[in-house]
Amino acid sequence: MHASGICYTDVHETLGHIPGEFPESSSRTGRRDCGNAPDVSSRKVGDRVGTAWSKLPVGAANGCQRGRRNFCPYQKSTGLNLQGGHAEYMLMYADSTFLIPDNVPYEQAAPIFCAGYTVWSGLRWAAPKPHERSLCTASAASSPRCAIRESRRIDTIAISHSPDKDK
Amino acid sequence: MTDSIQGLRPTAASSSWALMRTAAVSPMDLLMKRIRIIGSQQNGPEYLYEALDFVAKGKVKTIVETYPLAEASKAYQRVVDGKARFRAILTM
Repeated sequence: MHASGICYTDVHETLGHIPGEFPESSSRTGRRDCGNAPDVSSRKVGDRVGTAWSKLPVGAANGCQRGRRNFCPYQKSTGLNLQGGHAEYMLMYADSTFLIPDNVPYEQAAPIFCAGYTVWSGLRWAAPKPHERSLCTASAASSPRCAIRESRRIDTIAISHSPDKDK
Repeated sequence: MTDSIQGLRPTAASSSWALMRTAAVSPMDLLMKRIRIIGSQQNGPEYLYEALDFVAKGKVKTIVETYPLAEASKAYQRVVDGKARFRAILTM
């Protein structure tokens, strides 16, 4: 492991707000994790890879069969069913790893595997047109900031409950 | 979310990715302004790769504070307190 980000979901897991097998220790959570690949068929030793929250090793249910793995009812998630990346090493399914561009440092990539991925997915799914305005609200600070940085082509306003609202 | 619905213009979309258990929404507001509420998650690897590509091309720079693994408790507390600017990263 090289870098692993902490997000507020880690806090929820640590405090037991989300049911799972591993909520009892913060060292076992870890949302978005970046490291080097071990020797497996679809990855070469030393590949720079990251992994996101949901890990989907099942492949048998309807969602997986239709190529919609994020709707797998049996999906496993770090911090809940699998040990996470806040550690020197972590086990991960090879097909749940994603290559990191060569010029992106691990610390830069880590937030993208959680907040960046989530927020950009949300913006893209809402499919705003060029003239439309996007409004981001969040209780935590990092997600709307990520959204702003990723959506310069979309006019974005962020609202946060956090005490420090500067950009 | 309840309040933010009030701020939407007609035919707007609200894309929700927060882990909320419940949110009060008036169907009348949705109806009169023909508002859409969209559930969203990490919607597929293509969006992850698009986001990574922004960083690779220098269009996005994430702002992080890094902590060695030995200081994980300190980093965790920064997140609990909402003080992390803007993402606490453990490095190994």
